[in-house]
Amino acid sequence: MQAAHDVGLGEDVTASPPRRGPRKSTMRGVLADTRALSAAVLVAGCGALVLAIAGPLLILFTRGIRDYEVVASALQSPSFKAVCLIAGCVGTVSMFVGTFSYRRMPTRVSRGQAIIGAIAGLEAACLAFVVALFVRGDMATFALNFLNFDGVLDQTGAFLEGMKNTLVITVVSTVCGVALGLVVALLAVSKRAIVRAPARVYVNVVRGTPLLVLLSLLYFGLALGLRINWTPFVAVIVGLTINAGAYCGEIFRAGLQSLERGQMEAARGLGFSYSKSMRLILVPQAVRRVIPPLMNEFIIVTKDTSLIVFIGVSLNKRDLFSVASQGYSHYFNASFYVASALGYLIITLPLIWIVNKAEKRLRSGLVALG
Amino acid sequence: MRVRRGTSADPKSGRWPRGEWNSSGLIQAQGLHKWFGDNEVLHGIDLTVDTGEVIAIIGPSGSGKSTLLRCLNLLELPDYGQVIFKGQDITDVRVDLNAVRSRIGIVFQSYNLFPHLSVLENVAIALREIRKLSRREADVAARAELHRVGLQDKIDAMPGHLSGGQQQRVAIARALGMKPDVMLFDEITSALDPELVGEVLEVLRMLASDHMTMVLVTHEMSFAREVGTRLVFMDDGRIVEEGDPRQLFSAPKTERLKRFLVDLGDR
Repeated sequence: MQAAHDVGLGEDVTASPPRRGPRKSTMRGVLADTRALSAAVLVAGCGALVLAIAGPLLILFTRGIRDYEVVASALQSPSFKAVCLIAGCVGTVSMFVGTFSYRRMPTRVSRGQAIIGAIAGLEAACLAFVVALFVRGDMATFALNFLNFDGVLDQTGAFLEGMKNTLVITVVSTVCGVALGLVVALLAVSKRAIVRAPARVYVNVVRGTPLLVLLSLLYFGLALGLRINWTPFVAVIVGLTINAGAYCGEIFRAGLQSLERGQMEAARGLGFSYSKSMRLILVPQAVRRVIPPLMNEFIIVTKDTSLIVFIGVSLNKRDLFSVASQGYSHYFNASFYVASALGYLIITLPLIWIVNKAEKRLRSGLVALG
Repeated sequence: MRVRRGTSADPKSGRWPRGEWNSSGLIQAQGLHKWFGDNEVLHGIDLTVDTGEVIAIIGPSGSGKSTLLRCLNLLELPDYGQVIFKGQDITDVRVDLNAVRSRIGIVFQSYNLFPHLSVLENVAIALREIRKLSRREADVAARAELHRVGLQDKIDAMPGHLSGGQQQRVAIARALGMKPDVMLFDEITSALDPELVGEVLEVLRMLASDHMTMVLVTHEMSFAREVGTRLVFMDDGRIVEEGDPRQLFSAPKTERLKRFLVDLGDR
C-alpha cells in the first residue's frame, strides 16, 4: 500500500507536509493515514473472505475427507451452514459500508482500505451464499458420486501414468504445432496470393471443422488410404499438431501484422534479404508479442488430448481422461472426473506460471514501445 | 501498362535513354514515375547526386519528396524510369538489390530501431549478417559508430528506454556502420520534440564536414541553407526549382517556391 500525498483535506495537510520524491510506505505512515471506519471495513471484508474460504475447508478436513459419508454429513452440519452464513453476512455488511464510505475517506490509504474491504466483502458474500445454497441440496448423493475417492486411490498409479501420457501428447503436439504455425504464418503474410492460398485453405478448413471429426478422419480414413497402421496415441499427436498448427498460424500472423511497417523497411533498407529480415527482425518481435495467446493454445491442447477416448484407447498408453472415463464406467462414479480435473490443473498451473515468468523477461526490452 | 523494375522507356517519348549513364553521378534518377493507385505522385523526376554533395529536398507535404527518396534505394519501386547507382541500373531485376541497399544508408522519420535488440546489437547485427564481420569485429565497429554519434554510454540500453533524439542517433549510427556511399535522410527530425532536434542536426553537420554524400528530405530550412550544397524544391511530384541553397532562398525564380517560402515565414 502506498502512502502518497494527500490533496488538501483538513488536518492531513499539516500532518503530512509535501515532500520530494515518492513517499515510502512505512508502517507508521500507513497507521497515521488509517481511519477507524476504513480499518473496520478492511478487517471485516478480508475476515469474511478468509472465513468463507478457510472455514468450510477447515470443517471438512477436521472431520476427515477420506470417507464420503463423513464428508456428506460435514457438508450438511449446522456448523458448516453457520460458517457460510456468518461469512456471507459480514461480507455483505462490509461491502455496503465500504461502498458508501470510501468517497468520504480523507486519505489515500483509508480510501484504499475501504475499497479493498468492500471488494473482499463482495467476494466473500458471493462465495459463501453460493456454497450455503448448494449444501441445502442432496449432499449424500453428491458426495457418493463426486467425492468418493475410494476407487480413485486404488488407481493412483494409473492416474500418474495418464498424466505422463497427457503431458507427452501435449508437449509434442504443441511444439510441432507451434513450428507448423510459424511456417503457415510466414506463408500467410506473403504478398503473392499463390503462396497465401494453401495457408488460408489449411487454416480455414481446420478451424472450421470439429477436432473430433478431424481426428476420426485421420485415424480411420487416412489409415485406409495410406495403408498406415498407427496407434491412437500417434494419431492424436498428429491430429492435435495439425489443429494447433492452424490456430498458431493465425496467432503468429496476427503478431507479424501487428508490427510496424517500418521494421521491415528498416531491415530491407540496411540490405537484409526478405528471409533474413523475417528471421532476425520480425519473427523474434512477433513471438514476444504472441506469448499470451500461444500459452492459451497450449492449455487448449492439454485439454483436447482427452478426445483420444473417441478414437480408441490402447491400454498401455492411456491419457488422463481415458483413465478417468474407464474408472467412471467401471465404478460408475464421477469422482474419477473430479480427480482428472485436479490432474489437469497440476499439469497446466505450473506451465502457466513458468510462461508468465518467461514472458516478463522477454518483454522487458519492449516496455516503452508497447 | 505499368511495368515494374526493369522498364526503361520514358512513357511519353518512349525513348530508351541508354548510354547516358556514364556521367559522374553517384546516383542518377531518370524519368521516375510513380503511381499510388490512380494518384501519380512522381511525374518524371530526373535527379543526379554527385559524390560529396549534400542535397536538401524541400517542398509542401504530399509533393512526393519522401517517395522520391525511397525510390533512390528502391524501397519504393518506380513504375517508370531508372535509378542508376555507380553506373549500374538498379531497376534491372537481375541486380542484387540487397547488396545495393547495403551501400545506401537510409534513416527514417520514425527511427524504426529494432526494439528487441540492444543499442549495440541494433548497429552490430547488420555488420555481422551482411558484412560478415565476426562478432568481435562487429562490436568494435558498432561501438565506434555509436561513439561517433555520442552514444557510447548507451550501448547496453534497449531502444525503448532512449529519448527520440537518442533513438534517431542510433538509427544514424546503424546506417553509418555499413560504410555506405550515400546516406538518405527522410524527415529525420520531424517526429522529434523541438529541444531534441539540435542533437540530431549536430550529427548531420559532422557528416557534412566529413564530406559524406547525403540526400535529405527536410523541413528545417535554415539547416538546409547551412549545410546543403544544393537545394531541390519539389511540388506536385515535379522538381520545380533547384540550385544553390542561398540563391534559392534569397531569390526564388518560380512563383511556387516564392509562395512556399512566404507560407513558411507566416507560420
